[in-house]
Amino acid sequence: MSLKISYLSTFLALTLSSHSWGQSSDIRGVVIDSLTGQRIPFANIVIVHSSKGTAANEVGFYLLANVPAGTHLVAVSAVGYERVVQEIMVQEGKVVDLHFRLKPISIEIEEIVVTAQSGKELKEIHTSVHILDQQDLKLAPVVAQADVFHSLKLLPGIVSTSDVSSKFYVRGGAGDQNLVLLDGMKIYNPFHALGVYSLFDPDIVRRVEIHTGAFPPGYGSRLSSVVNISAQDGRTDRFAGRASFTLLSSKLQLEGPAILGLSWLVNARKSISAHTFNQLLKQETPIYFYDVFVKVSGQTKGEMKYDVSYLVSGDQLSYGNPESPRYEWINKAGGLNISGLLASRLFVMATIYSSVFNAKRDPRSNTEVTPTSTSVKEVGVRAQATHYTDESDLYFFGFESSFPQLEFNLVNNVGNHLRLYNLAPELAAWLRYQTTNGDLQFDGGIHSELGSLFHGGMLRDVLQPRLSLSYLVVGDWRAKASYGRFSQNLITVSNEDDLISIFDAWIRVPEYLEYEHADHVIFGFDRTVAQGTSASLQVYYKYFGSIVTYNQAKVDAFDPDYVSGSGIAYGVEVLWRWKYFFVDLYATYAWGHSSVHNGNIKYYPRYDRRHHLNVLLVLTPLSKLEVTMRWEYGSGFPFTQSIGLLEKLKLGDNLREPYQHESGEPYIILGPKNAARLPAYHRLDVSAQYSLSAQPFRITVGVHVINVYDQPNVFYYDRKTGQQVNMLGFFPSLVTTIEF
Amino acid sequence: MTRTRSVILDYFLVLCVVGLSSVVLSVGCRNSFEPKGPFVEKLVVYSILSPDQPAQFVRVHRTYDPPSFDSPMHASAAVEDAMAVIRESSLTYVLADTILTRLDKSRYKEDIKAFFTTSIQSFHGKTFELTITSPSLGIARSSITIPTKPSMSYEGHSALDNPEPSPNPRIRFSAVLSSQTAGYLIRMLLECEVQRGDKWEVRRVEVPIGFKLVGEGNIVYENGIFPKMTRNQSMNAAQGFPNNAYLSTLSKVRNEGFEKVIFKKVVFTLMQAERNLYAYYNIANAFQDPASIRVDQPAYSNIQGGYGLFGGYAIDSIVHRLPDNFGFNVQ
Repeated sequence: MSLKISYLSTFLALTLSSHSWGQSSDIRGVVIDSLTGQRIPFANIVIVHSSKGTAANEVGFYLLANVPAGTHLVAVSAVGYERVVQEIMVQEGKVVDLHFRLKPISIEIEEIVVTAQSGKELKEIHTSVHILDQQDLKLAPVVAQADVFHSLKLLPGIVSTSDVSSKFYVRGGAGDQNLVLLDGMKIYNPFHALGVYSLFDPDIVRRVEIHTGAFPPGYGSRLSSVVNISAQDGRTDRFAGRASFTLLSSKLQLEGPAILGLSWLVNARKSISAHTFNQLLKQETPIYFYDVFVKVSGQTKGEMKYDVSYLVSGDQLSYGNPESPRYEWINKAGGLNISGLLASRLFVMATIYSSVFNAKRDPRSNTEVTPTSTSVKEVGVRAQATHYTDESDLYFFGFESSFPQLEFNLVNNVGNHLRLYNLAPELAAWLRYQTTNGDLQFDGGIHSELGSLFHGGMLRDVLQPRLSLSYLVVGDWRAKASYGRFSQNLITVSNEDDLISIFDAWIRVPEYLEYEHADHVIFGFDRTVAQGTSASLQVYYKYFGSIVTYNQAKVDAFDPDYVSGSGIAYGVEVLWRWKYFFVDLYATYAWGHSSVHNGNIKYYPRYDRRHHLNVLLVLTPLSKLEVTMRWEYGSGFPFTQSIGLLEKLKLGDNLREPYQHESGEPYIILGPKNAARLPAYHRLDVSAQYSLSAQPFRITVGVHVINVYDQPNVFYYDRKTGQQVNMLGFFPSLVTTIEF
Repeated sequence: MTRTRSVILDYFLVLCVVGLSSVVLSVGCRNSFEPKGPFVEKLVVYSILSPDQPAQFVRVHRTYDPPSFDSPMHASAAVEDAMAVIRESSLTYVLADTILTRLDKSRYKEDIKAFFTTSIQSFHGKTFELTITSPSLGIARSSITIPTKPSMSYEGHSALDNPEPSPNPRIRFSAVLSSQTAGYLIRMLLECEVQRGDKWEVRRVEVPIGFKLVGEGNIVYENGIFPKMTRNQSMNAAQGFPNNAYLSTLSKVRNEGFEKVIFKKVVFTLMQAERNLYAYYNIANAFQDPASIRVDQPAYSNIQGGYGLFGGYAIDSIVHRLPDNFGFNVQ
């Protein structure tokens, strides 16, 4: 207890006395791309011939504290940029503002980097964080068009149950347990076309930060993962553009400088042919979609930066036959991000945003389908502050509040029209401390969820500890350990056995149940070398203390639809990367096990995969030619076998009719839930991309072949028709991109 | 030394990846897949002990496994070698076999193989054990306890004898239920004798408990809402019947074109379902939950060694006789 008080007192003292430190000799500034004017995140800044060093944050800001007076050489390096060394005179008590402009390494000699997080991962200690930049997202062969979420599936611990869905499941967690952020805005339905693609064109993405477990205190409200996408800023130096054509869609991206030092970026995509979907899904699927992303960015001569981002997307599934229902999905999200120094050592980043998701099913003249609609309307604000002390101690703190309004309109199984409306405020505050002591690094804090105050008036799971330790064991190898507790109060409604969910309607966890919550424990060894082999071995254990599951004992209206179940997930993940001249090999293997306990029933969720292997080989024999091969293997997903049929009686109208003569309906008798396994999945994809320059244009032509050996991977078995439906077969596609 | 250990770790990790990959590849690429589990033919039994019926029936089917789903050529077939026995305390009822006419043959073409007995006379509070024995399909068993007699009463004698156009539920039935009752259904039935031509017949018409809101003029019998099976929560059951519902029922019968109508009595019936029947009925009918957002359709069975339902109910009634000079008679 006394330790806690001491810790708190120290923190408060440091925070409140920050102004007095304005007299110290700090060096601070931002790191900028000299060509585009965009900020460079996570650059390494060191004082040559000293132990002092730091890393820039995600908006390129750095601060070196307590630098002794005198002349120093400050070196800055970042992946993909030439190293810069600058001499600087530090005078006692006078803060030095030092901004760096790094020159990108020319494209001809730029290395292909699968994961460019070397500096950050070591600095941030965490066990389960992956950072992908735009190049990484474009490495894997594409299914008709590049996609951010399809690329995530290369990472260990992330699985998808289908080739044609970019929905993903992380370490035994359900699909609604992933927090997806775009420039700080929560995106509730980040999918196009029944989930075939994500909303995010890789060309708008600067960086994706993926936490697959034990994420830091700054994130909350989901149990399993965080996918934090930072969008590109527009170029400040010149007008530029990029057009791309695939068999599925066309795209145009334009960017450039504007008045008052602003820059802008507009990216618009639109599907051009439903024929490709028909080929992909092997059935008539008249899906049309579009998305538009706009970003306006500005920065002062100092460290302040501000952005306005706006995303709008729409999807429509509409058959020509008026007896077929029509589906529509719309996403709109807009946000303002501001970052800058609030005090001499207090750097603040704040986001205010609005996010809207609407979906509806119009039965038109179909009498067997009912009208359904769902919407999420949310306004939120998020802020985080970093307090710099010296190069080894950092304090972070922040808060987040959002007010999602959830609406779900449906006709239920007894024919009633229902309207479920919830206002589900989410309030959280957090505190984080990061320090280094020799070979030992510590990053820990508390995430405090206060939203449960609005959930039956009781505070539950308020304090959620998040801890990470890292110790340099031998050579470049680090031993790591993390623990975190997480809670979630919003869930999606769908039949948990549905293969593809048309609607992911969000509802609040019913008031009669506690929030979903989970604990993560992770141990691992990581080795990261800047330009060579990197490797990681992680063991995780997740305990879902409360998850919302169907009430198997429900008999009538007096019994709740849902009850609290529990679950466990554990596994081992290995990640290995090896680079030698023009060969870049990236391999991941994951062994996982997850199960759900619902009353007396224990079963494997349908995304439980034992073995998952991904091998990605990137060859760049010529500077303009890139050949990629990806082979994926996954052991079979669970499914429930049918073991026969019976004639099922409904017993008439409240037993008013005698049952003796009733003719029942065929009812499929199911075996033990998810006790059987689909066959193993494997697939080889190959792509080749060639770039050529015809000034002022740069043209890239890519040929992508999915499932080269046409492996018939089972998607599902239709119980009603007896038909086996396979996932993607051999599927070639062409992608042409023109840049200027 | 440190360098050596680091290299060893590197190689260990490489070996891990290569080794695991080899195991996975050798084991996992075999693509045997059986979408169906092993089919074991079992008995499917439906029987509801119904004291208001002259005979008790047991329907006996079997599970089936068509090569493709819903093929009319492959459906539930009769079980030819089965025998059905119901035991109650020291009494044993061996059921005779029969064929029941299937009313709707659009899906299942065959009539229904069943067993029946007319010997069971006493139901209240009795525990019955059903055993179906089939040399080819094994034995299926189940047992139930029928609820004991309730105590019943009703209010509204005057409203019944002199109907008034008031929406207030002045007619009210109440009961104290049996502890074996899981669900109950209270019904109010209007019994009359009607004449068409030279022919007299007895008619029973159920009185609604309310009306659907379908605009003006909604208080007509066709818009009536009728009682549903309700869970026994407190051992007490009650049901009100509005006067206008009673009136609409009287009007409906009067307006059906009979030459003469003589209203004889009002019968309040209380059906008490034991727990298996109540559970099966609700689950098979979307939980009877108007607020449920569940979309799954689970099954319920209490048949050991098979599937289906063995259920039962007790039915009791109170009769209110209408006066001979009842104002709504058509004479």
